[in-house]
Amino acid sequence: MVRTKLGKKRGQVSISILLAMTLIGSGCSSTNTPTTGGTTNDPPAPSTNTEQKPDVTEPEQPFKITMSLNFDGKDIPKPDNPVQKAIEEYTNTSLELQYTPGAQYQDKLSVLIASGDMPMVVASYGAPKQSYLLSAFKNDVFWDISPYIQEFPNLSKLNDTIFENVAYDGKVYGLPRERPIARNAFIYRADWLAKVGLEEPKTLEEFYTMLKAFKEQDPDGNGKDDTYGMSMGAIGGSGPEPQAYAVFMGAPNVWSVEDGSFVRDVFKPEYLEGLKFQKRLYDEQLIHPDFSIMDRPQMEGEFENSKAGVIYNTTNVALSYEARVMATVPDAKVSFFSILGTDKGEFVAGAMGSNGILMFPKTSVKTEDDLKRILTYFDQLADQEMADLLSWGIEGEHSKIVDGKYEMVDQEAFDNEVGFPYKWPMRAVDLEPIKTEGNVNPLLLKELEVTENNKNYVVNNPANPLISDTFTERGVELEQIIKDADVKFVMGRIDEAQWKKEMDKWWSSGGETIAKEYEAALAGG
Amino acid sequence: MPIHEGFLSRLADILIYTILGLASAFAILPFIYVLVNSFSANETVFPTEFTLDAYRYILSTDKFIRSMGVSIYITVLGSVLSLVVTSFMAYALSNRKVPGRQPVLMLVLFTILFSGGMIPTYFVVRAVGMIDTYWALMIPGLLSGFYLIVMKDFFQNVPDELKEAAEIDGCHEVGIFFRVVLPLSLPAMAAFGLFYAVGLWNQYFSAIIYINDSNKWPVQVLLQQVVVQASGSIGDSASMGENVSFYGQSVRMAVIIVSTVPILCVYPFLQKHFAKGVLLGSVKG
Amino acid sequence: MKTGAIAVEKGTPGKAPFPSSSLRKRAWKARWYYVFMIPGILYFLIFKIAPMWGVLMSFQDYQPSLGMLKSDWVGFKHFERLFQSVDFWKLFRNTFLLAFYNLAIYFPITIVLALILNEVRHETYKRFVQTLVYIPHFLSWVVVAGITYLLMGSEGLINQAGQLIGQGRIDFLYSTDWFRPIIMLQIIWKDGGWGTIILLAALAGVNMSLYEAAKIDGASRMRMMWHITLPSIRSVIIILLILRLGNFMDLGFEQIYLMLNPLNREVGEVFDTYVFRVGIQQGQFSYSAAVGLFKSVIGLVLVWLANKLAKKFGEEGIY
Repeated sequence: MVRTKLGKKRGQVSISILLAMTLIGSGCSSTNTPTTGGTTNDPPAPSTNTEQKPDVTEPEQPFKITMSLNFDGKDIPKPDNPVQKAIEEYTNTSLELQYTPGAQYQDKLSVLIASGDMPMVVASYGAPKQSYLLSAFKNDVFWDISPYIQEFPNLSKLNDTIFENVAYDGKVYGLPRERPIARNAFIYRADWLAKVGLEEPKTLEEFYTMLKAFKEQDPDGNGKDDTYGMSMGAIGGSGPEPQAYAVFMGAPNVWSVEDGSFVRDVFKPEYLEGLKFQKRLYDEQLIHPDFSIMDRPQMEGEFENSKAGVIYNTTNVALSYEARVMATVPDAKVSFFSILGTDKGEFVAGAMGSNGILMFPKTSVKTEDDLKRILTYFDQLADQEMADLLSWGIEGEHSKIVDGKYEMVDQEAFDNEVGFPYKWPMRAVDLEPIKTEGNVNPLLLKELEVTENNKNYVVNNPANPLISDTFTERGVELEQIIKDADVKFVMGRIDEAQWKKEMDKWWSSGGETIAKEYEAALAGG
Repeated sequence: MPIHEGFLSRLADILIYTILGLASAFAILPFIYVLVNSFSANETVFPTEFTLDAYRYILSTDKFIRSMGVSIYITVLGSVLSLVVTSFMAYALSNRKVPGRQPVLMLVLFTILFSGGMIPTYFVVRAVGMIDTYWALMIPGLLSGFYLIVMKDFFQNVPDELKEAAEIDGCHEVGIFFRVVLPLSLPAMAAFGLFYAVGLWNQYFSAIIYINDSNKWPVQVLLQQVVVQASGSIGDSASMGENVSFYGQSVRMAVIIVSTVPILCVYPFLQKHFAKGVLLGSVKG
Repeated sequence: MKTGAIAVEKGTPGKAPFPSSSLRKRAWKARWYYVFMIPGILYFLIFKIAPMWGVLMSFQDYQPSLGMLKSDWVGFKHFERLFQSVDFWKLFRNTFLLAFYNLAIYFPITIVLALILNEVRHETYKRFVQTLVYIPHFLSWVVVAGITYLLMGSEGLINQAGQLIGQGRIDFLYSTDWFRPIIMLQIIWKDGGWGTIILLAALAGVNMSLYEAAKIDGASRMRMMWHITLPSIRSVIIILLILRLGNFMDLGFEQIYLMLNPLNREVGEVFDTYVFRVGIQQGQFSYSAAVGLFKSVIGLVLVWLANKLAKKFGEEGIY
């Protein structure tokens, strides 16, 4: 590099900076209105904005919203990409998004709360009811949005159960990101099932038959005894938990309320039956002998590499599993089901019904009006046009319309440019029922069908909306007693009597207190 | 090299060479396993299909080159800064005649034993205005008390005759450091430089906490994202469609290769400084 | 030990080049050293000492939303919870044993490996081996755990080989007997080579003329190693040992966490894994800080004792 050239270049840079500054300066002084606030870096208002809401008479300044969101995608798109622009234009906002990798989001969140450096929208993600979050709720760090929800046509459609599950002391400190309440499923190799000549199982016994056939009847047809029934991870990790089977057999979902007092599922005979079913799978080697130490990638590897014929996960990942199995077995087919019936009937365990919440700190969202403006933004994301953008991306780029129906042309681009950065972290209301229909993979249709059907059979955990201080403080420690005993029982290291003793230990070392606290919470609420 | 060697000595050589050969084989085999599987469609001990898809997938991220640049920048600049500050301080502490040396050493030891934790450190980093800057990745871990104390010991082992000789030649403290102590401690500088560099290269958590702007992410954060997405352990957000096909396993393996090979390459360059005989030459000269 | 260059400076206190000057005079003479120290001291004060108030969290119910000033002070509540926990002694025993094995097995192995490497006379081979043995350090614990499963799982390579020769299956990964050996093997494999780097750097500083003199005297290689090489790096070894004691209770959290399962938790759960599950994952800052403080205090006591002992044997120690 020649020195003079460098100097010249530097001169140019500083001139262009100066120029830019004067431009920004003049732009601000002419358009900035003091009432909207926080719009120092806004681009000039769009002049050809056809999507303006009809009730807006004169072009309003775009409202600046800052957010801290969890991110599970690969690439964070540049802020001036067409998708973000389309969202900003439709909602008349300017977005400033900070992403943090999902796995580390909680660490970041606690630091954000401690420092008070919070943007206007902060996601809470991962384990709910962490003590520091609850205390932030108690200390009124975030807005209670429950008084405002009814004003918003889309947000108000969110299921009450979902709000109840994220509520604290009757107040809702964040907007839940809806997801199906019961969405766990047994994802299986449909091509294997056809090979062994069976139908999709409807009952637990049929399920067992299927697993056995996957082990014994050489479903991959390679002439070797190298397949087995189901890939499952450590109890407490990837599941299915004994709870899942116990619920099929008619047990409560973790807790049940009987005459006002809380009873834990482990003291119900059905739970033990579920555990024995798992033991049977283990004893007959229908699950991996090392299931208890497998982490998720290992366990998924077993399914992807066609060693196991079933894997337990959520309905929405079935398609991705199919793609991954097809990488090595091109004609593989995958399908799934959620409910296995028993002589007690049909049940399925329900979960929180949301993937964390979006919270609005009072330090950055100063007025009620600002809060409503932000809620309007999230409400608008569930409008038809936004639902289509977030579900189908940009027409011609991510999808195309064939005979009036959408069709995805580049799923990977959609995931990276729309799904991970915008749809999943920001949308509150499930867009599936709102979006324009399209030609999709039958697995996606089945996903809707199964999760919709599950609603009729769902068994909820009555403790989900309640707070127990003991559980908040020592829950993990105590749950470990149950989980460890379960694994030991399944692997035959302890017998029924010893297992029961462990449950009694759980009860006496804090379980009872938790039950009492839930009881009080239920009575108080 | 000595000319005549006893039988025992030769036997020892054979033994040493064999042991080290075996140790190297054990050390490298798993790495080869990872390397091979990064090119393979499915994880196995003996892969059959060769594919570059995993690397293509990683390199397809827009920010890969940028974040690699960030990592190299903070690693190079950070380890130079760390070495300079550590060696200066270690040199000062290596002289027993400096009054107040003892309390300083106590202070350093105290910071090795006790730590304030994540949140208080964040407050400090914020107070000095480093949030969202590359400095936040280099300065909070600038000095390791551990390395400082060991380096101090290395400096103390430089023979005093040499320092005194330099003093007689008219060097003062600064001159002695640069002309005598530093050249004689090149092996130590290489070792600690490597330690600092590896620490800087591998840092992940501090980037998550201190960096909000994803354009400033070091490569480790970016690659971790790639792994998370590729392994499908993403619960809700998973919506991989039908026309995506990639190999979760091989992407994980490829990420290991991509994230370690650059820093692995540093070692051979530093290695020559571990050569024997540094001291001998200088004593004679 | 008056042979080495190292030994020469052991006698310095007697030489006292600034005879009987006042403290101020001595300090003025050392002014350049203070200048050298300034950046480092500033660093420690700002980035290490200033955040030290976090230690006080252990006596609070620290809530990020309230901050230090408004959080409740709870005295020794968290320590009581730790000490009264049914698992406390189990945790203490497990942590202590693993830490002890680490010090008693891994650390000497790095010394032996460094000495052996030092004996290699073929430069290229030496460099080749050095480069290879330090590579495992760069593989994450997740990979190490994966390889361990591949080798030692119920259907792992070792068990498969065992079945070929008619051996029964060994439950390496669930066995309480095998847990500690496996952890040690992993550490040795991953960091055995890496641990030699500092020692090799120290060995590079050994005065070669000593070897030549010894060779003329007809000393064997073993004798030279014992009487020249080892003494030359003795002070580094002692410093490393004392410093390691300071972090005695810190074990590789990730490594152990990955190898834990319900069947070996009895011997495998250590303070670091416990506090991760119970404290950190739950966002319980105060409890985590209390466990950390407890570990630090143990480290402090050990360092103090070790330093005292080192001084008794004529070593300088670390302060």
